[in-house]
Amino acid sequence: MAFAALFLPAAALAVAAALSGGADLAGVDVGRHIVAVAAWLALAVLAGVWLAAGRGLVEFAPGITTAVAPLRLRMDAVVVLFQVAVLVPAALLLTFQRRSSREAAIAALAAGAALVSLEGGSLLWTAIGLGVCISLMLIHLHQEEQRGSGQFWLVQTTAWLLLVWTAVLLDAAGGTSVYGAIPVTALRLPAFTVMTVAAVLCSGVLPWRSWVSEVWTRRRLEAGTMAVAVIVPIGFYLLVRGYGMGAGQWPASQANVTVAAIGAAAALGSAVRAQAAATRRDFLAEAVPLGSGLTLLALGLGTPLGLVAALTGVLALSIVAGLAPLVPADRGPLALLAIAVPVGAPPTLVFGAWLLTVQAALEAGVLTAFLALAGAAAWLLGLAAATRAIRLPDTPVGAASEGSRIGSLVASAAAVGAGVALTLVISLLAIPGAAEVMPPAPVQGAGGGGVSQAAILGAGALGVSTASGGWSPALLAAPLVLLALAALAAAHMFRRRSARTSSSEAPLPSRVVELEPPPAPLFAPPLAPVSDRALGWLRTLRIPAQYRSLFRPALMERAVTQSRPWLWAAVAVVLTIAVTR
Amino acid sequence: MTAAPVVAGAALSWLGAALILLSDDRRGLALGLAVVGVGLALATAAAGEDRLAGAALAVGGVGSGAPHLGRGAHGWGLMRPGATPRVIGSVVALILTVLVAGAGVHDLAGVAHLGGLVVAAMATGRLLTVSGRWGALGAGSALALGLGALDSGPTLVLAAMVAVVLSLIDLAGPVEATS
Amino acid sequence: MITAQPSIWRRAPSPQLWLAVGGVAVTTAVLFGSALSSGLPLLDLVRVPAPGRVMLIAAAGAVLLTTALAPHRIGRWELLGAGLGAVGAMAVLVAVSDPLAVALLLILVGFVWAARRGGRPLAIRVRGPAFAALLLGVGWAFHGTAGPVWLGRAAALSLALSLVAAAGLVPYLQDVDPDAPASYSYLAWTGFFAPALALTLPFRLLPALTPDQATVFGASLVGLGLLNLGWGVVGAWRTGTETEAWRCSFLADWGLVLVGTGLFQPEGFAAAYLALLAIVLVRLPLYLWARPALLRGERAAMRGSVSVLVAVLLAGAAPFSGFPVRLLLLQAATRTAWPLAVLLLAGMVLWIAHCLRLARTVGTEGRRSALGLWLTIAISLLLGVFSGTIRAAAGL
Repeated sequence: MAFAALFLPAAALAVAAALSGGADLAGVDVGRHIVAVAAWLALAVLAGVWLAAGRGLVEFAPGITTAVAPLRLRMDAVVVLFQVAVLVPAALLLTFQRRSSREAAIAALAAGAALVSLEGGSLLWTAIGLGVCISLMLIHLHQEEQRGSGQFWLVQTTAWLLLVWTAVLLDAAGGTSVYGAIPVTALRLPAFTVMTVAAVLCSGVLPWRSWVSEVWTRRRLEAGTMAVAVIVPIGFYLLVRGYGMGAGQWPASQANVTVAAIGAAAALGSAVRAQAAATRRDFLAEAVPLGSGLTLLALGLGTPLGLVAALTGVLALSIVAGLAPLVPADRGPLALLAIAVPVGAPPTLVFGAWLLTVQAALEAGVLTAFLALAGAAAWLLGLAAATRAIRLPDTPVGAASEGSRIGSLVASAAAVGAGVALTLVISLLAIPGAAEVMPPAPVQGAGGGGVSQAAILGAGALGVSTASGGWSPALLAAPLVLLALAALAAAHMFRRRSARTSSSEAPLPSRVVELEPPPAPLFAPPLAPVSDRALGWLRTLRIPAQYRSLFRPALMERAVTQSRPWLWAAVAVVLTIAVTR
Repeated sequence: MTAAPVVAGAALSWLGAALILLSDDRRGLALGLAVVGVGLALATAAAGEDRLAGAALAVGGVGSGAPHLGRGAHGWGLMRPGATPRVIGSVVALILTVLVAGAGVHDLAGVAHLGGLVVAAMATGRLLTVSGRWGALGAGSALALGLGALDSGPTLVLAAMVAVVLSLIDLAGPVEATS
Repeated sequence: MITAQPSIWRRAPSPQLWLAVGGVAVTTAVLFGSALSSGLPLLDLVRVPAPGRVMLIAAAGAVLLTTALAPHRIGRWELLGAGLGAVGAMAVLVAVSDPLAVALLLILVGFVWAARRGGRPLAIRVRGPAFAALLLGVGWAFHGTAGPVWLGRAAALSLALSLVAAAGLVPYLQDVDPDAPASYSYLAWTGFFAPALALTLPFRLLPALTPDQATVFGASLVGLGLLNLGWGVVGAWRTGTETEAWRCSFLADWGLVLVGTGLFQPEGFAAAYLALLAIVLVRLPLYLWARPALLRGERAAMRGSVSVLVAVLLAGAAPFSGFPVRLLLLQAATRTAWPLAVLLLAGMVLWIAHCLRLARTVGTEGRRSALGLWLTIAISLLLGVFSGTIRAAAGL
């Protein structure tokens, strides 16, 4: 049963991909439906089997060494949480986005590769899986549009190579990169720094505009948003594993502060860009970076509550990644709700995760309290950006207008439902995941560290109860949801009645359509021109004209290949002198 | 064993290599190869190597030069206009080789190896500057002989065989007038 | 069968046929003879190391693959004859254990290969192998002399440079004529003969070098490897023609080989071995599939996703053949000196800049050609996924 949880979800996606590919060859356009069903099935199987199997650790190490290292797979609470974080947006996007059968096959394979990457029992196998996932996403991006994947490829390749190097460093320092077997002293600051850079690049959590936002500049959104959905969680996974490698902590407190600061800066940066967005698409492009920044802030705190908040943030991020591309183009209540969810409007899961993050940052210390303020500022700015975004035009000229009313309804409902049942989500997924890498102290009162349910959830697990305060999501959210539903029903009835009574008196439509000017941003992003100027300056860099003749590789190559042998002999002599001195 | 025959052989092989370097016609090449072969054979035999193997070098030199006779022009092609750099090069190669590699010479075998080294270096220099087919093949034969002389036993025989085969390759191709 | 035979004999030019038969005979003799040569007088001269054996089999496979399935502008009999003959020559180079004898055979092989009609003049095509033979012979002759220390170091450097010259790498680059047939191009040395030398020569040379000489040998290889890696990745990205880009991509691959060999670590040797196999079995065949587009001077008419797949393969991503090379090389470099790993990482990141460019030249013309391309991709996948097994087959 436990092994079924290990293999079945990825196998379902792989089989669906094969069937979709076959449908494409046969000319039948049912591929995307097959993979959509497979994605939901995979999610259901994962959840069902994991719960039924007792939620314990499962390891698969058959001892086969055909590749670079012995095959090793692992399933624990952390893996399950991140697989849910991959499968939820993947299922949403595969269901509600339009793809050809061939595109659906590749997307399904990429999602399956992400699942296998998370199941890697060592950092090396995680890297291998990530590499495969990146390759498949690259093919998906190029299938859709043969441009705009250069930055993605460069960044992800760098991240992947750095991750491979981290595995090598751990192997050199501790003899292994197998999770659970890495000596605590193996993950030193240099290796951790390399891994952090890899994670940050992989997830695109940077103060400036990263690949996560850039994919929204493509004409079509299917491939780019799928890449965001399956690859962004893997970056966070690496940092969570970092806690496990260090027996519940990172190698230095400076690392915690630095990572948290990067998260806060990323959140602020994305919020600033979001409030200055020219179109709704530009605003939605910053939805995931905003959530990523706050999640990274929580992850960097190094406290049990911070870790739980981060893992909850990852789950929230997954819903945002699935929802943002599906936001409809109109200005109705559904679009309003769909735009409000990614910016942490209550009572959604996003709201709950971010509130926990702020609480955790306030509790963690003086310095992190300032970071909490920065995070809160980003949150507020995001909310302001959302109110502006409702009135923005949907897409820039030339871009395909996407969106799915049903899809956004499903995703928004999931966000709201998970927000109402926040404590359930935390107790079932976030706390077990956090406890896996930050185990509770063996003896009560024996010192800090360790995640325990009692320290975070109140009695009966109905509410959050921490040092900075307690609140009950269910009790606060449920009335809100009921009121909202009531208001929605009332508005719908009023509209129907007014449509019936005023239809005979409706004036003739005017031929002149008054265009509403888009609202001005609160302020212009202060550092926006800097990056463009820096890039422009880099492009103009040249060797000074008077020295250019000294370094012309083409001439040097011609001299070597076509000249008389004096150059060859001279090279040999010069090298001999260099070597024999 | 005295050093005189070894030195004489090495000097003779240098002379043969210089002939190859300075000759722009097949007769000069054939003579140069023969002189190289004989010189190296003399040097290696006098240094105490297997005489049969040394004789193979001589046979190889003569045998690789012989096919060049009777093909193409019937001149020596020695010291044609523009050969001055090659003259200087052949002298410089000898001096440099003695200076650089001479530090490693402690016995007669080392002196014989010097001869092989000079031949190999000059043959390579010729090979890298020539543009014609037979000139390159001839230089290649000399290079093989020179490298063979750096070792002993079966390698000498192999070197001779390679030198001869290279000359036979020229027979399979069209006749070229110039090197 | 009887009616088919006359047409085959009619179509096959006899020199190509003899070359093919000779190559097969020599290769078979080398592969099986080394196991049976215990009583032969030339035992000491003939010894085939396990990596060399694997390389011979791989090379023969590559020849059969490209001959049967290469795009049809290349003459198949010509390619088969040349290819099998080349495998035979490789077998001889791999089998002979005395480096000076290898130098002599290098001259022979170089001249015989360059003597084939067509392409550039013999005198130009033979320069690389001849210079390599000189460096190898001189280096081997003087490494063991009881002379000053600097002479031994110079000899070690000469040995390292011989490998570089044989493969036509920086600083002994050979000109590649874009219009010449592939088998006449110096890339035949870079992608075929030289890998065999690189797999066997270091194992022959190293035991005979003193520690000081070995250090110089290794450092030279590492330095030249980094130079070729940098030159290759930047050149393939920035150069003006696609043919030159392909040539530079071979330089980059060889850069990894030289660095791996020069580090003297088991992982480094394994990385070099896998990289050389990938050059013979993957990069060279892909170059042949790109030749029609290179000759036409335009992009191949191939679907986008296959181009990207080939680009990913050429970039060394998992699970293809380049991935275990990179991993093993990083392991070896990290153990030696971590700044070296940083340089290698920079080269590996820059590597992706040219991959799509090369991939867009790889095309298929017909079903046979498409089958060959997919087989090559599959081989790359096998090399990546089963790299452990392939290493074990070579004792690495």
